[in-house]
Amino acid sequence: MNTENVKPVDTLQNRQIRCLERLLNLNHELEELEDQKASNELPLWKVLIFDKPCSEIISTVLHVSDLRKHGVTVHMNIKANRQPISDVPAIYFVQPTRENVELIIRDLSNGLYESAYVCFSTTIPRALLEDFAEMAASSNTGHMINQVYDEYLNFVSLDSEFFSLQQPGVFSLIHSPSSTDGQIEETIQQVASGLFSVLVTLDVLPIIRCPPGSAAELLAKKLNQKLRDHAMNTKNVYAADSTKQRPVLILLDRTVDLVPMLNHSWTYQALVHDVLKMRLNRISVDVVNNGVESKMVYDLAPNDSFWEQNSNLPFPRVAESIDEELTRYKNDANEVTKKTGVSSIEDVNADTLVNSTYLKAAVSLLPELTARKQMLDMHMNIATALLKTIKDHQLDEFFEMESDVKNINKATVLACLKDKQKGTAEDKLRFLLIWYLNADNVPASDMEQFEEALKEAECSLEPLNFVKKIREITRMNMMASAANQPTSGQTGDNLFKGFTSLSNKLTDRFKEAGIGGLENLISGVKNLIPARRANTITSIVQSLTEPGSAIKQTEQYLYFDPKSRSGSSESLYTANKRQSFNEAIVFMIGGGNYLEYGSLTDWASEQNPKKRIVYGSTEVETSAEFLQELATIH
Amino acid sequence: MTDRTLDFFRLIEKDSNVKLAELSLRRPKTKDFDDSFLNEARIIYNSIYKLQVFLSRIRHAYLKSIHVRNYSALTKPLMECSREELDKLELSDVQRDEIDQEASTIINICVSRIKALEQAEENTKTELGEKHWYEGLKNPEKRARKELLLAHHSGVLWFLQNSLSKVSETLFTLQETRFEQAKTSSLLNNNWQNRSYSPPPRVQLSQSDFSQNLSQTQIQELEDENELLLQEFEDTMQRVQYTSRSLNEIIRLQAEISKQLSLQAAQTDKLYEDAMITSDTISSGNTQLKQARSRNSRAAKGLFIVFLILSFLLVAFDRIL
Repeated sequence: MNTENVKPVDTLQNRQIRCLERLLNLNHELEELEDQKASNELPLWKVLIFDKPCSEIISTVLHVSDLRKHGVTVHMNIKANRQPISDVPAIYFVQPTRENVELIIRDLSNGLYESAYVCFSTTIPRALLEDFAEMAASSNTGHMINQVYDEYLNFVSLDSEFFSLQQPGVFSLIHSPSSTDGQIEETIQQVASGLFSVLVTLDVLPIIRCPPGSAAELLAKKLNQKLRDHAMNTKNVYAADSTKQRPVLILLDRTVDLVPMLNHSWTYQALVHDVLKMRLNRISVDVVNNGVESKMVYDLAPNDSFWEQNSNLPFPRVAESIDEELTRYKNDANEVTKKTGVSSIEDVNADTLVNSTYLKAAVSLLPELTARKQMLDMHMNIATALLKTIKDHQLDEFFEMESDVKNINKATVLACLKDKQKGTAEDKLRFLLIWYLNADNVPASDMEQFEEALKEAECSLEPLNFVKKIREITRMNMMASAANQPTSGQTGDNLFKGFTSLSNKLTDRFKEAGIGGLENLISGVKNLIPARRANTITSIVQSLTEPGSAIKQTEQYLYFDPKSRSGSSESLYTANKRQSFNEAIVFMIGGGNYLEYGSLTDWASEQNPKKRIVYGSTEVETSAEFLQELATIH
Repeated sequence: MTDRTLDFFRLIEKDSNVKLAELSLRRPKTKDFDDSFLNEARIIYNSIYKLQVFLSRIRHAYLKSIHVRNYSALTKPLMECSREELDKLELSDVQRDEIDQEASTIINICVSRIKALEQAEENTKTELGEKHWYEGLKNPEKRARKELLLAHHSGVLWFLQNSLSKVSETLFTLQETRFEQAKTSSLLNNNWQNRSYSPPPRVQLSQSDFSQNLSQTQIQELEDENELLLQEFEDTMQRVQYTSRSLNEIIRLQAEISKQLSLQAAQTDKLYEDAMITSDTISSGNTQLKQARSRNSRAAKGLFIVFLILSFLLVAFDRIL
């Protein structure tokens, strides 16, 4: 078990969950509710109404049972045809748009609910608030509105310190030659609003660093101004005491390194995202149970202890962990059945037991064991599905090649592209793009051969055209970091043992299904632990948080301080650029992924003292989605 | 988060005659609902909440290791005392048992009242199911409203059962701690009892040696002490047995409540799905109706004329043939 993965309680995700729970309790602190007087004055039961973006925010971190625990009986979309429940109030958690405001007024005029608590995901503009009040006054529904709040929650927490603004297409908009200045300005405004909410939720006022002359600089200026205004107007919102060290907010364009968006990975969370197309922590897996094929939908939300401990580990180690957990479960289950004297865990029934100790053991341990079994079943199914795809597409070989991409010559590349057995067209394109971005000199004739091979594999070349255009810029930005030697922590035998025993377990279960043993599936899979190589992004973060290891590139970065008295929103050239930071918030404009998050988390935990890194992006895309976006840029 | 409520009310005041003070003072409805189900649910919740508060306040006095023999009459019911008053109390075992019993009774009453509400809901659901096909055609909106109300009530029931489960867990923890304390002290007494039997041989020896020194009263005192210890040991054993019985009772109750909770969760999920499906069906039905109305009425007219002509032809041919 990885004890070093114990996370502090105050992560971004936990903070957001607390804010959401307070929202569900009508914006009262949960401690206040303990007072009996307060509980008699507040409605116990309410209805939750949301729009699509806000439903994504909630559903990523809360289950329906969590909603019910806080008294929410039903939850519905604001645009749905809704029937009245006139005795209870409604909590509206929506974006501040004219359409939503009109729908709220319509609901209240029609007496759908007893009253309304209106919580906007971000600041409602003054003009719209005035219109809202005017509509309420003219429809005589003002008295039915109990609260109007700006919640600053318009972002999704995918993991404890990993967020997404759910704003698609930002990369293509910024880099498309046909985009107008107005469009880019508006997009950056929206990004600034989302990022501002993250900072308010974290309750920090960071120093901002960004590379000059890019979308990052535009964003930095906007954000600096926003933070400055907010700090001046609402002094009590920032509870942060001045003695606490401020973090650094690092804003980067995606063009700084395109490779992580295209890499084939070997960590559990990156594989689940790439192969099973995880979206907002939800995946859909094909499962074969007793010969019956079905589609299972799983939520990898918080409170999955196995996911928490294993999500950033290499896949072979995850297979071992599943093995260990299964053994542990079997032992615990046997102990309970021994204590209670029944033959199997399923037969434990409160009526059959007399002795109170045994009864107590059954009642308190049984639900926990059942929950553990369900969780393990889910991860087994996920691992099986991943194994199958890895084998079918030989993803392990792609990973191996990409780890050592600088040492691959043109002949190997061509052979791979022409090999009909290897991977899909998309896998080949990804590999070629990574090689192309890393290679020093690629003569046009070679490129033609590659393109021919890709065309034969029925691959669209649009993304390649775009990459050709920005290749030079990207290569300048990419750190020339040599690939480290693979870590020699474990021998091949140990790893294969994990695979073999996993396959045995899975084989036993699926024997009847006639899949014929999974040994065949995994025997060809190589056992590798990914080489810990220095990503571009890790080098940049290291350079900015530890001035001792500064690289030349980041010395050009701009410096903004929303707290400075100079009152200007321009970069401060005289600022102390040699300060070190223990906390950093890294934001990528144009797309993020689990690979970067994983490598930043690993780097942060290896530092002494441990650093804390929050990572986020405008959206979290799979490589397939990113390639599609690249193809749209003309 | 930023509270914009006052800003909002000020803007309303500007646009209408409603005073800001009136708006700020308004409180949402928490009782006297139109829906009798909710009124009953609120009463049940109040009992559960009162019990939860009481158990947390009495915990200190309940778990004090002082066992008073004769209890003093209390001036007012325990449940109405404040935390400070309860902290000062010294309870006898009889009083503790009474607390256990009363708490169990309250929980049992809540369980049966919740069951009554569940039964009423079940009846409504069956009625709705029976009326299905023609009621649905006549007034789909009414049906959707009823289904949503069923889902809403189911959510309320889940909430009540969840609160009840928490309070029964609190009571269980309290009784279990008392049980463990009683067991530990009975073990200690046992050891002490064993040890206290070994001195007598020595006492006898010393009696033979120092029989003149130990007077009759002193021997009597030692025997009385032994009697007292024996009595205490028996009391403790009795306490352990009684607590163990009430522990069993609360565990059974807890198991039943947990089972009900998981059943209710499944029920609520299903009712919610049904309500959403019905409302989706109505939405798409309405859309279809709108589309049908806006379809080119010329086509409808044309079709009508064709059918009219065909029917005339049919009649004409029939006449001719």
